[in-house]
Amino acid sequence: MPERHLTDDPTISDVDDVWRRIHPDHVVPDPKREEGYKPSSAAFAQEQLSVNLARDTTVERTLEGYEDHSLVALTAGLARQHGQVVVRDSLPENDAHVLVVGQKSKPICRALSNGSQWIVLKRPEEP
Amino acid sequence: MTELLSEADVTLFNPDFSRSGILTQEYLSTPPVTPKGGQAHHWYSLRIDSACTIDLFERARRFIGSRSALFCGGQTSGLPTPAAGLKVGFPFAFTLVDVSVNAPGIFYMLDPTRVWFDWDEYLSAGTLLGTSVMFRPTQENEFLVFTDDSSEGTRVFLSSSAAEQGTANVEPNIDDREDWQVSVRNRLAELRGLPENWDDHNAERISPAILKYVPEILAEVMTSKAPPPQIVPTVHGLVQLEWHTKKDDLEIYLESPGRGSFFYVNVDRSVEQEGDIPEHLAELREIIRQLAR
Repeated sequence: MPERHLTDDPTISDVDDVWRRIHPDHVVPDPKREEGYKPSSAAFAQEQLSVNLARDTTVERTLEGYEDHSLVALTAGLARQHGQVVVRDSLPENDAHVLVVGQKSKPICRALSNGSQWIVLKRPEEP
Repeated sequence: MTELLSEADVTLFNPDFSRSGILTQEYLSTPPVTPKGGQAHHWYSLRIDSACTIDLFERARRFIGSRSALFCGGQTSGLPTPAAGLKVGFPFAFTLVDVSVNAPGIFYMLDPTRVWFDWDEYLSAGTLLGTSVMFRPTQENEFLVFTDDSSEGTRVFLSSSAAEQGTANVEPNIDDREDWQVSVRNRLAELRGLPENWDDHNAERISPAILKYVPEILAEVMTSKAPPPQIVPTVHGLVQLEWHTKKDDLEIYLESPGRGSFFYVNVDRSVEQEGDIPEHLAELREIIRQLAR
């Protein structure tokens, strides 16, 4: 990984939202949430967590090709509070692509999950 | 000419039965066991001396034979038994009338006079056979007994019963355990089908060994009233088990068969608890018991 990926990007402020797509298998029931579901902490376990910078994209673009996925927002500040660095990683097809980089222990994964808000929730089919 | 049992012959097992055991010769059928002087084999079988028809689409418990015997490696190692009942947690049916056999799920039909049980599937599916079989070990260390010895009659564990002999009582539990077991079984089947890169972010295929371990750990910690866990795949090819209620969050992280950890928080009581598996199974069991309240 190029070194630039490990340098936190100061142009992404703490209050900036980043959006993370949530695979259907990572949407779990949680009656504590108004929506009745939460993203599993397992959805945040990657050392290089792929997200989009919300102000540089749209919901439609972020979910294009992932119509069954949900979408959550978390702030860059939340990630930084937990020792993560937030770096741009523009892709040819996605200028808004950002990585949240850092070791993610179980407590960090839970914190990211608990601190996230639904932007789009695709409820699992009821049994 | 064999006799078909009628509905009138249906025998329900005793709902007050509190101890049960399943006689088998190897734990979860892998690897195959080779008795001294015998052939390697995977299966025990329960021979049904009376032909019968079983229709369990309604999850009814039916009498399946007036006399049955435990078979191993082609030789009878048990004695005729008075009766057998059956309980399943998913639609299942077969006919045992010397001819046609339709035995999906856990039952394997190798000839028209024997029903063969895959104990691995049997346990992972949470299906319990209700019967009372007399057994007599033929080789030292040949027999293992799965014993249900919990006060609530919900846990099944393994113990050696070398040189024991007597009656192995196998009784289903009359409670709602099948709800979570069916849920878990179905979910595991889904996870088995996840391909590599199932998340489009290079996730690993879920480890079959971990999937096999899930029902084992749940058998250790679940209680009859406990809600089923959410079984969540991880990008590293593992799974975590999650329960989220209005007050509680419990997550179990399975790292390898027999190893893992858990985190529990109760927001009302400001309680947080963490522990390793298997070291803190007792604590975990107590947490899940409280979740069921």
